[in-house]
Amino acid sequence: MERRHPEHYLDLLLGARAGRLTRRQVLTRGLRLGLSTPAILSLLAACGQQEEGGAAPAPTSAPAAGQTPAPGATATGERRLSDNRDFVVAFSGGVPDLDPQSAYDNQASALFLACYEMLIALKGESTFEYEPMLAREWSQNDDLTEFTFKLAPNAKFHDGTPCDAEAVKASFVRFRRMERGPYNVISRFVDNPEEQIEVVDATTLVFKMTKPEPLFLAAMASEYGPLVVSPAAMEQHKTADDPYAHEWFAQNIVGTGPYKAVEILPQERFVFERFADYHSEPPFFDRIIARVVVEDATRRQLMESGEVHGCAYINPEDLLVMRDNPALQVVEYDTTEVDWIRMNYAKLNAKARQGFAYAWPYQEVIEQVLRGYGKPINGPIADTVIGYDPSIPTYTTDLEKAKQLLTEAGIREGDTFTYMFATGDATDSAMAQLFQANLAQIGITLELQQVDRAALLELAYGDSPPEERPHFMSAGWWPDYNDSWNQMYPNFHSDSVGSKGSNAMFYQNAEFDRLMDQLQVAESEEEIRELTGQIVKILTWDDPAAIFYAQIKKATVLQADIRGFTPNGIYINSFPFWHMWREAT
Amino acid sequence: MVLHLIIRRLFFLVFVLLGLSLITFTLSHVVPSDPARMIAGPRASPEAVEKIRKDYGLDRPLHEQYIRYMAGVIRLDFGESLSSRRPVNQDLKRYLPATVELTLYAMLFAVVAGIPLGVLSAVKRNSLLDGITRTISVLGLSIPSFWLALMLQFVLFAQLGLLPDGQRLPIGVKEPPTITTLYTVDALLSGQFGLFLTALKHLAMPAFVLGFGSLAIVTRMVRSGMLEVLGQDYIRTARAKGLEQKTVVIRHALKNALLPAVTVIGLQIGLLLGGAVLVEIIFSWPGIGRYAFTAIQNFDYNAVISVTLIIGFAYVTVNLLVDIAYVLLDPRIRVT
Amino acid sequence: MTAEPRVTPEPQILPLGLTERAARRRGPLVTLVDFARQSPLNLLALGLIALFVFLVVFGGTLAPHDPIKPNIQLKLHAPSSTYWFGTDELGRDVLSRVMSGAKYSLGVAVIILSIALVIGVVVGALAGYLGGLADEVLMRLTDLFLAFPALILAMAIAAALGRSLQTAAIALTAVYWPWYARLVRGQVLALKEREFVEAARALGASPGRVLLRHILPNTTAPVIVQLTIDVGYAVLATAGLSFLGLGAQPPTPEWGSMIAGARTVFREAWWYISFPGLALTLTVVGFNLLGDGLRDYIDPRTRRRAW
Repeated sequence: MERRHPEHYLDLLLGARAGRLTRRQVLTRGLRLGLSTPAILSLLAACGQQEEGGAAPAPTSAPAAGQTPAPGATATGERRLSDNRDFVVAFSGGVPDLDPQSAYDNQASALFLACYEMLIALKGESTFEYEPMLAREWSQNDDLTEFTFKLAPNAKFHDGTPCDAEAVKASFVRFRRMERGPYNVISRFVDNPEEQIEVVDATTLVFKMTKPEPLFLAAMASEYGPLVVSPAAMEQHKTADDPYAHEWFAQNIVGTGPYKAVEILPQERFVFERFADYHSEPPFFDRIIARVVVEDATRRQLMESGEVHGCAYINPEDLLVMRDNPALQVVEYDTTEVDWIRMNYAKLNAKARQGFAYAWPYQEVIEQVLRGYGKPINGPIADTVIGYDPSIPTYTTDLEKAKQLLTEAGIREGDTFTYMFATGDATDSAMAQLFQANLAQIGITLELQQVDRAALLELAYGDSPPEERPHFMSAGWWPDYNDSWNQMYPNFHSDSVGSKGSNAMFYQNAEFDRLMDQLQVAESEEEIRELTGQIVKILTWDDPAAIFYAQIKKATVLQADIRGFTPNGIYINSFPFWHMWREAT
Repeated sequence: MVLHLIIRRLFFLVFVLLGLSLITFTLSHVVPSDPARMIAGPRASPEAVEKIRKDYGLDRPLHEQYIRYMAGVIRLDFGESLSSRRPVNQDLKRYLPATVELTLYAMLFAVVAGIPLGVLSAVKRNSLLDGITRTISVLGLSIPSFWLALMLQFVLFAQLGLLPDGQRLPIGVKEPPTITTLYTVDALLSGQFGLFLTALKHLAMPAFVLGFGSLAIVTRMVRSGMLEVLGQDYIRTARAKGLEQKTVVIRHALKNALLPAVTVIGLQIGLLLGGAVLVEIIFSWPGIGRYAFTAIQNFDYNAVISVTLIIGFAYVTVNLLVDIAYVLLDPRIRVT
Repeated sequence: MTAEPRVTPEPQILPLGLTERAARRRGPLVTLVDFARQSPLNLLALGLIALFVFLVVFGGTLAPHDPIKPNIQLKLHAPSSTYWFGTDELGRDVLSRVMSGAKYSLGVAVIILSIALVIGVVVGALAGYLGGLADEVLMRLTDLFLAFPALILAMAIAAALGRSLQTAAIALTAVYWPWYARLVRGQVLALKEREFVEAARALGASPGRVLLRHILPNTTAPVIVQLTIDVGYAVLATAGLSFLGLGAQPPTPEWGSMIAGARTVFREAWWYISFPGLALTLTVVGFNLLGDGLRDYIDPRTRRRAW
């Protein structure tokens, strides 16, 4: 569920890429110098530039191991372009909601990058530098309260209407007012869009904040929500019941992106063709075809047969084999996703949850199940996220300790617990069985229950009481912003239980809530670190909410002749279609 | 006689459809899920969920929902799919032809291969060929289709690269213009012979797996029918009269042995339509079996009911046709 | 069900009570030997069934390794002298899992058919014996279930009641009982008019007694033949549901769910997918051959047909 279909985007991941300083190093050094976040941002930017040409490659211009090879250029520096101008990408499931201001779904956002546009986008692999998208230029005032965007003058929607500043404003008003899916991406900054968004002239737009907002640009580069839809289409298709024409946009696509949809079969495939009136340089590919291939084995087979050219949903086990296939490239990248096993707060006391955390097969899972596509982590905050505190210890498997704690918790040999996971998920199934075996060694029975994805969603977002829920459920998350509060609030805060968030196991700890509320308004980096440390300690050790078993590494598989792909830690599982091309072979 | 049969069966058909819909409807409503939340999507506010519940009539009592749904079905409107949010009709229009084409080719394979095999093995009884045929016929009924499918994928696709691993056409290949909705036929009708071959290649593995069981049954029926007929007096007489073996077999024995085979073939078509689920899933075949499986996983009960009804309808209709054929072919038989 | 197609049991009347009388006269062992000697296929069938029934009872005990406990360091090892059938994705011995899996695959099929048989016999006997309205109502109900797409019905039931081997068994019982109802009804209808039944009635036996003592015992032969063949199909169906995740749950070594587990790695580990599939196939072959053999054995007209 959440993990395989993450509904979040990363925001301002300061992750320094492989070969450079790790983000933590930069951050630690920066903090030691007493710098603030924006200062560190610029420091990181500087790092990237300074180290370019050095021993370690910079992210966007040169290939690192396992990354897209340098563009296949001729001696004269020209690209040798292939005649095959279709790019076929395989998805693992359908995309029923195509409204970019409503869908909160990882695959949907990958699709949107072909046909919709944000104002700005993250540049290459960078998680803090931007490149133009719908906006040609942008600037902000010194105290970060006003952000000005200059739009492409010739931008048009797929329906032929011009995309001017008024249209962009109308789209953002819709995003904010419709209050669907990812709308907190805008509502955090803009509460009153009619007033706060100002149209200066046909191509100039100003967003006015009520307080300094260092994260606003990051939010505008998110692939979840701030995409611009055609207000003309909205006007045309709205109804009294549905003033924002959401029902219509859920099934139709009218954006400004380089491709327009020519065929939409939500559970089967999407076909996009190059949009003739696209405002920027035409992309290489004539067509983007997104194909829904539900079966893991089939996705791999289609990659190997060459029918599919790119896929971000491949099992670790298959990735290991595909890495050795010269016809394919496997592009690996670190993320800020942390995966965990939620524990039922209502059914298990703190001692029991600590005991179970000791019984988890950490090393086996990372090495043998995730096959190295993950590393140990000491809580819900990945080591690339602000607030990560390395001083908090990490659990390791210790069955004796587990048994002792479980006994103290009043759990006896022969007691039975339930563990729920999504059908057909080989990774989950293997982890669950390893956990089950560990528990069996200390006399505890774990019953495994496969359920459909729909049933898991129902649990994650439904209102059934915790007593009716299983003891364990697998999950995972990555933050909206590079901000620890954002990662934990929807998952563990008492405001987020049941249908109000993803706190599916009804974690409710008063001290946690209190510290979280402080963290939300924290003003300095130290304060964030200090509070996050305390909070994570509660979540992991004092009153555990989940078994935090790995920080995840992802991989996208491409045909070997595909060029111009750069993974981005924020646009997880997505493709920069407009940069990509195919080399003639 | 035939008319009476048809009228009787039509009543039965209505009864079956009502029964099927009622059972499926009940089953899908005891599922512990909230379709309104499914439609609303993750993180929808309780108000939004409530609104959808109202819009879709999900807040009404069950019997009322059922009646509303069936009122639509009578007008051939199967409602809206809760997961794709498109009319189920639209989905069916896409997925049903895929299943029909697959089933037809599976049966074609079973008949084209099964009848000669059955005849030959009866005529050359206890020969090597007979032995092979009988082995095939036992295996056909015994090999799990999903296992056979995976093994074939492994050998023919992954190892040898002879056949595609599934789907109706390669990704990116344009479908033939819709005439009959069957890709192979449409490709031929529109003169695209290459496309016809491609579609046929894609059909080969799934149709073989799906038809293998039917092949066994057809072979078996034909063989035993032939054996019975060949042992009867009039055949012996014919042989004694010096008629050539070939003539005896074709003119007399086969004709008589085919009747039971026809029945079985008809019934098999009915069963295969609903039985393609596993094969469709493994070969990523976009048919109604796979559609129903996905629908069940998504608690998309409008879709589930519609598929059940369509397959039930097909089953009863095919049965009726078989019975009519039976009556017409063999006046001695009375069917009630 | 599904692509495991079945011959529709046409209301066929086989010579009745032959087996029983033969058995009574000569003892069951003699009958068995007689049956086995009739055709090498019969011998093969008995051999296969004996093997798998043996595994149902002793498979779990005799398994050389623990079929449940993962040993992940050994994952996906090819067959060797220690692990004859190789190991699976969690390093468990595939041979041990296949051996202890018989209990689930074959055992559950037998349970399913037992229940289906009871329901079918009751419905069929009542319908056939009472006739009239009861017959009409019961048989239309039966036909209704027959018209249900089997796997879809099973999937819907399993989804509604939760995924487990028990649910799968319930779902498949719902699929199988109508066949027995129809079969038994046909037999009862035919037997009702036979002399020995008339005679019993004339002697003043109550309807219940006539049905239980005189009619039902004589339907045994065709029912047994059908049952034998259906065991095979039920094994396939159970495995099919488990393959879809609707039946046995991990770590249960049910053959269908083993094949499902093998599916993601079958390209790298042929042994993992092959052996459970072979076990399934051989079990079903055994029952199919036995069914054919029995039919021939019971029905002298087809005796030499030896399918």
